Amino acid sequence: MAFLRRTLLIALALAVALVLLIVALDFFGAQPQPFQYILH
Amino acid sequence: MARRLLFGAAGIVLTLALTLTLVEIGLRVYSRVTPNVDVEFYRYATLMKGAASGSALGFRHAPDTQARLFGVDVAINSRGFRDAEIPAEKRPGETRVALLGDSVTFGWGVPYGDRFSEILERDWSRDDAPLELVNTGHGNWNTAQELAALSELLSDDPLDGILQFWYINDAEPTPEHRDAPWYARLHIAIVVWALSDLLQRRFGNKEGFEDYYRGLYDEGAAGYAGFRSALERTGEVARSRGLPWVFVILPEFHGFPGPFQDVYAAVAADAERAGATVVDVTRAFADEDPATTWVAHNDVHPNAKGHALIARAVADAVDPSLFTRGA
Repeated sequence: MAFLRRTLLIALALAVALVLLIVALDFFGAQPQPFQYILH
Repeated sequence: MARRLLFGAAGIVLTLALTLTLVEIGLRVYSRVTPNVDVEFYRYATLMKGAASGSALGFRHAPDTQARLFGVDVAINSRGFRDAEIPAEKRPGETRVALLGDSVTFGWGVPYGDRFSEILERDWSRDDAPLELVNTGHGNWNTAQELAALSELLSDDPLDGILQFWYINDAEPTPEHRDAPWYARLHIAIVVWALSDLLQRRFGNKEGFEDYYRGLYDEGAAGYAGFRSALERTGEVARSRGLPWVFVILPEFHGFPGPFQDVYAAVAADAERAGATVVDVTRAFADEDPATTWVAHNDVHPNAKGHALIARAVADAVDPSLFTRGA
């Protein structure tokens, strides 16, 4: 039980950090990028 | 010892799986609050586009499809255009003009009714002389694909003219459409791809938009010969069908006036040689803060304000009687 709880807490912390990082980077996006065809 | 190693490995795998699942959920929630342009472009491609096998179109909209893309309702009609259902026969006194272009003409991120096509229709139409613009604008189409739309999709239409909108990436080679790999359905995959691309362009050796777009017009560039050839062929089609052809130069929207004046001049010369009447609307944006004309902080497609600027500039430069011929 302790093992699972610890795993979940670590995963949650990592996920929150990653999502916040991605959201932050999103606000510095677009300037250098040309339009791109995403399925090619 | 072995038991501890096994537990450790299981812990790592479980942590990783849980983390990725939670990140995927978090990104999907974020996309609902703030649409992600790359996710939305992926949705556009998978929900509304399909391969056009054996055709120079390469790919095209699936007819009769609807989706909410980038916060805007998009409806594709029975002919595969983001436009109203236009009857095959013209109304009495109607002038009908083919509108060719890419995602800017399609009106990415702009509601139907706020695009320059609808603004021009309202501006140019009279009760006894309606003017219909058949908007064939399609995301990621180039000039060669627009020619294919004119030759294949509009070959039997009773047209009175061609109004073509050029954007700087229209000299790209025609991309080959492929079905999305399974992992592309994950927001994580799209976001990682987009961030990797962004970082390579900012800090790595991948070209930023300036070098990339300029390179499209280098002699010997993969798509430039095809672009010029498509212009010449469009001129031939226009002449054979007796259609006035107006070619509109749109600005690259990152900045105004921007670094591409020489490219605009070269493209204008190519279009004039092919027989078009060229209209340059880049100067209409000269005094604008670029960010006020974008659909989003990270997507430079023109918003409703940008479309209104384009419509006004075209209306100031083009007399619609050019297209009227005994309609």
